[in-house]
Amino acid sequence: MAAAFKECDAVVEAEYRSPILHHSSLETHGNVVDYRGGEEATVYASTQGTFTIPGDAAHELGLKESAVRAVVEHMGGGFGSKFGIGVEGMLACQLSKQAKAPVHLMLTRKDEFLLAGNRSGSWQKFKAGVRRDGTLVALHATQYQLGGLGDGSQAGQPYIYAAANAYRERISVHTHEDASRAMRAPGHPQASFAIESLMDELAYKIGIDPVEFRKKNLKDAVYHRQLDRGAREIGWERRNKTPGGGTGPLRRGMGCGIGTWGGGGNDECKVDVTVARDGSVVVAVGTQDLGTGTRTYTRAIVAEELGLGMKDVAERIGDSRLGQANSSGGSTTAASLAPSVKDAAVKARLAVAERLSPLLGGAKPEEITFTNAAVSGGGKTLSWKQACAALPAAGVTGHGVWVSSLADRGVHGVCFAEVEVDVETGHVKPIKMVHVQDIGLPLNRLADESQMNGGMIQSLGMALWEGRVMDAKLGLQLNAGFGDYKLPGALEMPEFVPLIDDEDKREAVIGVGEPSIIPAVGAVVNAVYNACGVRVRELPITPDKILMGLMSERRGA
Amino acid sequence: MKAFEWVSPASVEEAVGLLKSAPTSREMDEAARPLAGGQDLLTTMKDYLTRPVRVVNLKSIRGLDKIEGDGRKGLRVGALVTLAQVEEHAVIRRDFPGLAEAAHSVATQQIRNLGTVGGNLCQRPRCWYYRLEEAVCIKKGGSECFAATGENKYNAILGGGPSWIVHPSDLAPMLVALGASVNVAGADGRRTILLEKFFTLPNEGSVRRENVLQNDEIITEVSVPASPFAARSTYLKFKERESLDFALSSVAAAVELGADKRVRQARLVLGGVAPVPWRVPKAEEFLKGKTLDAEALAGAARLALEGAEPLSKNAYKVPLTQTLVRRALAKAGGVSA
Repeated sequence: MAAAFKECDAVVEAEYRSPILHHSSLETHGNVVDYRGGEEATVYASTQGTFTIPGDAAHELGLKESAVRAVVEHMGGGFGSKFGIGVEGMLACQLSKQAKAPVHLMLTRKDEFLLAGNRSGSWQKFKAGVRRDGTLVALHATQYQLGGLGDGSQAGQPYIYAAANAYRERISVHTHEDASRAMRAPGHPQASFAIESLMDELAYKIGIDPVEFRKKNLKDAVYHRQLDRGAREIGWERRNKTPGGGTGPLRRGMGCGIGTWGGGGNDECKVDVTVARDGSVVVAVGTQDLGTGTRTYTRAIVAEELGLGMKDVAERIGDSRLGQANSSGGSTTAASLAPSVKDAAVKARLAVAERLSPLLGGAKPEEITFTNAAVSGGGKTLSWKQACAALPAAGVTGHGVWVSSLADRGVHGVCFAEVEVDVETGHVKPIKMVHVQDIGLPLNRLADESQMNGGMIQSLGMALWEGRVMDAKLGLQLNAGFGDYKLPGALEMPEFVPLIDDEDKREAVIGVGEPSIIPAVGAVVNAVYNACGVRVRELPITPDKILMGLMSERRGA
Repeated sequence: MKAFEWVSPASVEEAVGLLKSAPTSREMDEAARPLAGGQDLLTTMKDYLTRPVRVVNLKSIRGLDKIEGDGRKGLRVGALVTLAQVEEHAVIRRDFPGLAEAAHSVATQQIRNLGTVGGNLCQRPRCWYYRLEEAVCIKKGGSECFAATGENKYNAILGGGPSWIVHPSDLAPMLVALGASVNVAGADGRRTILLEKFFTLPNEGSVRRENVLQNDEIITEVSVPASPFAARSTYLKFKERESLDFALSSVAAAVELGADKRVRQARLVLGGVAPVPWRVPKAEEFLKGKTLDAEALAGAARLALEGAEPLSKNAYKVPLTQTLVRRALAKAGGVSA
């Protein structure tokens, strides 16, 4: 490494810190456990894994796993913190067993902050060097993961970027705080925030446009395409040419960042699509919808396949007595479930078509078309009602399994942010954020854009307001509530521009929940620097840090 | 929450009698407590900061929810008037614009719909050590102000301790600037207190209290006198989070300008930086006879923060508040900062 640093024309040494964050699901963790003695129990759970509940509950209740039914019709957010029944569920099971009555036990908001998991904090120390042309030559990183009792998580540095000579060590530092859990793209926002800050510092130090600097050090053409598109959309040429430049108290600036995520699907979902003789269609699978639109696409895929409207199909989800499904983690739900739903819908369509063939002039089942609530073949057309009347009394059912060719994995993603900083108060006003994301085949563009908006909002919180505050002497969290743990509100929202990268031609489903939270933190942090000339290396960037930064700059000048 | 007795008196006299007669210790946190909008009291009860044996519901009393008068006769605002009513009141907006702005700056619309004028003035501090049940700080009978050496970013830079809370009310600095008084009723009779004398520093009176009210006393009315500066009043509040927050710092300013645009008199009160609304007479005096140019604004800002003693993590409040002083005076005086 030492030799490599000698080759460099500019070297930056910097440390970046991000605090422990909270999932902040609006519904806290908890369950209703209904066990009144006997052989069976039902658990109504707030979980992102319907099928993680029966085994955990059965263990506490002394029952067989198959004797416990989990119901997750609706749930109020998880972000990675709600797998398994948890200590709160174990207590509810014990109470229900003793009381022989249903027990409803939800964590209080304070409990939620203190024991329901967290996004690990980070402390990342770098020495990195570049050649005059912007090539990243050497990077030395020491990464501390601050996950309380847990190990925490942090993607390895140099995240995404390649350096000819790179060394990193990653160390978990344990404290007496609650254990970290997975949180929306575990370890990635922390790593992205730090490396994007560092790349920005190097770019400014060597005097290269930060976007060009990134392209110089990214081989993947998709990043180049997405950076160009994001830059166009935000109006990158309008950025502050000198960080902190301008007159008057309000200074605007822009920054960017990049991310990556795996996602992908697995053979874990079993889906039934049943068409009844009265024309009703039900798609059933035990999966849960943690607010990402799972219900909607489950219904939509079946409706599309059968040529029906959304109102003509009903979905049944969130029940462990229905077909197996995976937990919602790693943005794998859509890529696991959607192909299985599609398979079940295709099979149901063919089963209906087979029954109708004799009524449609012996047309081949695969040539019979289903459109506009009508079935056509052999020159004849039947209304959906007429068609279904020909089905057997029990109707027909398609049993769907995962089709690997309909799912894919691996995405990029870039974000650009524009902010306005009041250099007399330190106030940061987000003006505009643009997120460009490749996601293969979008299942529902509105829902995908909503995920991207949500990712930008959560990133904004991480960049500017959120963070656990502990008292070092008392060992107590001081802001275990929504008053002092400051989530951004409506007035903090900038203009959001979520852009699905349609140049990604993969005809396969990829999850979008996690990639959309990764690159925006760096984008906002870099925009603040571009606006006011103060590089804040510890999140969140609150007004006190900007004001103190400006004061020490003035003292230095 | 600890169990409590709930009573709904029909009159002020009955209410203060019920506050007086409750079996209670002398400590306010254990005593019978009056409840108006409940936006603060209930949170302190849920966190066991207060454990009243009896809660006296003031909303059952008629006649405490009136707004009367105007800029010529002076203004009288009943203690049960909500913050939303204050911010929307046409006469207040016209004759006491700073008061409407202060009310508007509080929390969220939902809270302003319930929170009352009296409750806003009597709310307890937001210091996170005070609000944390497990931290027995000096305001809760302990011996130490944990903020003095701990996480004190939001705490006081003025007032001299030994508790470093900041007073959380937004109405208070503005009402002090406007020369308001409160009418107070207690079991032993009624009294009128100039609001400036209503709030107490931790080193004057009990460190566990923020004002002079006795356990059996309630505010019934706020009265704002007619003044030549009320029409040029403004309240500037800086929040870390615009959507919903207490002040990191705020400034209530009011000025009377002569025909020559020179300041005849000025009122300047700081919020969010001291355990009480912090009036700065030196800066007020300095402004007399001056035009509100950049030099005068800067001079007032400097004097307003004179004597500030920042703790380890709140030195930023000095330049921040100076900016707010300049901007508030400029706005009140109708000039650019």
